[in-house]
Amino acid sequence: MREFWYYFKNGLLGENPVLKLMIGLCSVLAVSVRVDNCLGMGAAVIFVLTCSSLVISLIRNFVPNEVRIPIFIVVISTFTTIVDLVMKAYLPPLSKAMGIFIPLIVVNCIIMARAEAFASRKPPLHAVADALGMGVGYTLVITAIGVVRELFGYGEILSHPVFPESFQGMMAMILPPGAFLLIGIYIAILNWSLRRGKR
Amino acid sequence: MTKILRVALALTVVCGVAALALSFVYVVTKERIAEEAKRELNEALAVVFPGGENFAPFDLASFGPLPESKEFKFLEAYAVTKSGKQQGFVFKVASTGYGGPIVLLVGVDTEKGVFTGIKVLEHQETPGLGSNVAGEGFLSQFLGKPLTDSFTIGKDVQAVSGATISTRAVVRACVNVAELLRGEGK
Repeated sequence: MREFWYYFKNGLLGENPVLKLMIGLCSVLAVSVRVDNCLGMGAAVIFVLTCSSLVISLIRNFVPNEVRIPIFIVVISTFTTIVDLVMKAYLPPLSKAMGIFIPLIVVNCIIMARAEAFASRKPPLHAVADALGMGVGYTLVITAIGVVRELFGYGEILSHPVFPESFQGMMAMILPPGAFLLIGIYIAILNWSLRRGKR
Repeated sequence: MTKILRVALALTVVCGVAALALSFVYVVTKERIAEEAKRELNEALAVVFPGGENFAPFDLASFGPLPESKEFKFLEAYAVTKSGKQQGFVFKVASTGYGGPIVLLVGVDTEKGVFTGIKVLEHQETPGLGSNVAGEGFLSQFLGKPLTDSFTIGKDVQAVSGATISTRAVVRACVNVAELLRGEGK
């Protein structure tokens, strides 16, 4: 159980996929305009990542080394398609807002990287811990970016106005450069505080 | 030889299980997705033609040859009737904007010869600039506009600032629909 927490926490801070490993940035930049999109995207990534890590870890001894990548992709794309279909059926507005980025989870490098580097070598429980940590770490960062972008770009949080009517949204926050700037600032803050903690 | 068989077996089993799982989810969600799309279409039709009672798909070919270019295309048409009487049409059209085709629904009351409403269904315009053409503020100015309007941007149509190309795309859609219904379309 202690190992479970160790691997879980690893994804939150030490090896946060977005701020530390710097993978999966494409969807972070594209989807983080509004907080509800971030939460939806985060939930989709957590689901796909956890399910595929579990399955890949379970079949790791059955999969021949030569064809492991195609098999990982089949597993990941199966779960992604399930998420896509279920979202289209039950959460159509959300599915519309995220558009192509749900199907693109298939090629999200976080999931592929964790399958290859972690899930295919570790027992299921550890793989799930790692996947949950990575997924939650991804969701935290994308939501933190989304809060700032929606607040300053639209003057709203979860589509509720926060500022008075006269507020003029910041263009830079709505466009992808805003996300780039924020990611940079977050990386700096994280590295700075981690280094301070070590001293 | 046994090696290759093992590889083939692993791939076959994994793909087979994946296919089974996917077909199960597909069957479960299929109806829901179709229903959702239908509901969405009906809602959109009611928005662009308030008061319309019955919307029936209408064959575009019966308008004769349609204008078609890289920038503009008629996609679908719906005839609007109320207690059996023809009221107007709703057209689904694609007009190219800044980031790609903008898909619009355009409602026209053929009795009065005016536009009843426009709704943007899909677009890839710049968020915060071009995306404003999908907003109420811009689209409401087309309500009640006669088909004979000249649609001059800046005079008859208030453009979205910073989004000339997106504005032009919406206006192009209106002009084409108006020309088609006036019988001038080529």
